[in-house]
Amino acid sequence: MTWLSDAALDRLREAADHPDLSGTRYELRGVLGRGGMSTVFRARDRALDREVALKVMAAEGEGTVSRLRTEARVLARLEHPGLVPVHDVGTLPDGRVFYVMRLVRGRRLDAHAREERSLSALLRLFERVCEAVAFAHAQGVLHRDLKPANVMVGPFGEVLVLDWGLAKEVAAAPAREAAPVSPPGARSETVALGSALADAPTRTRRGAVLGTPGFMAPEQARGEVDALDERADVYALGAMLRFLLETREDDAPRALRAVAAKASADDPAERYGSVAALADDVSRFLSADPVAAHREGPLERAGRVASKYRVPITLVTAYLLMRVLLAVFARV
Amino acid sequence: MEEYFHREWVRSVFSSAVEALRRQAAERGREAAFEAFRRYDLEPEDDRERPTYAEIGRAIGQPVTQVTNYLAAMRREFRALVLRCLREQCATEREFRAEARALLGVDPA
Repeated sequence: MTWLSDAALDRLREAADHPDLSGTRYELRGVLGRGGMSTVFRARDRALDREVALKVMAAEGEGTVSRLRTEARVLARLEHPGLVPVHDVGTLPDGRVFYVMRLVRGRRLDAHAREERSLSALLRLFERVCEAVAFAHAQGVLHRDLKPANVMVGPFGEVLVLDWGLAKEVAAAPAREAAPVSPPGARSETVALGSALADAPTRTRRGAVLGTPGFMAPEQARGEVDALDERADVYALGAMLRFLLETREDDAPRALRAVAAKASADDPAERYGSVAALADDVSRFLSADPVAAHREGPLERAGRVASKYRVPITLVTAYLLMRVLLAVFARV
Repeated sequence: MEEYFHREWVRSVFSSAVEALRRQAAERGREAAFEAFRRYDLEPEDDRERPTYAEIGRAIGQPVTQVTNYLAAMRREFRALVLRCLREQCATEREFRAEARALLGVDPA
């Protein structure tokens, strides 16, 4: 039997895992990351002379092949600045399915959050995550694996929601609360709603538990696949918001903690009815308006109002002080 | 210690697969392809000793493009043979999948 050196073992392991791109227009450049079910490679598109990310499903089974194809199809349909565009999809000579997407540069939200000092800046990023997810929901797509590690923050502050490998196509459900149907933060604009996908196949085995503990809604953890709706993603976003608040050295405001708690309530009925409603409450906090998730006391309200109208209050106070001083000096 | 045994087990599975690949190549008259694979992926003790595709091409009398094709085909067949070896060694489907994942990072569901 052939004896293999350690170096040969390592090379063979790599060779067996690396996709064979012969016959395609792509050239392998290296590994970007490995997940449980797929590996993302850096590659060069020879035809367009640009670097791309090439995602290859590790598995070869029928279910997993269709999963990656569905992911590519779902992503290709979701054209939004917060989602990574898909350029191509195909099958490798060894049967593994791959798809090609834009090479995303930046760092993950969890790493970014630990260095971002401004809570407002972090919340604005969170709003943008919500925008992308709300758009997907409007198209009838649940993400089901939202977490800080699946959000990339680009060098110019752009936000991209990644890894739609567990995405599920559902019918685009009407919002449960009086939530806007337009994307959060852009209430006057209209979202182009896609067709509902009620007939699309469910991409997971019935009852299969897929997701990330800590960010997975209880009903998702119980494997109630058919019962999942956009509130499962609301839960994950609530957990993500809580994670972002926990990265702060100072205590997060009570109103914001209440927003995170409402979003990640165990009972779906107690959560925000839609991602747009959650984002709306975060926007309200940023504008120093009262949030729906928290009933404030008189002192809290006074503090918030003072914060909201800080500039006019300062100006009026300065004006009054000046008048008083003038009056005093006039008497002297 | 566990790591040592795991590596030796990987060595034994890969060695069996390489042997099967050599036999398969000989049966199909593809000795040149296996030779390219042997020179590029099996033989060098160190990556710095790895020959270039052009050097391999000269040694086996084939153009560089053919060397690329040979290597891609041999790696593909090697991968399939590793999975076949694994399947033969594992008692259950679950064990097979777990080992495939550990060995190649794949889930041959």
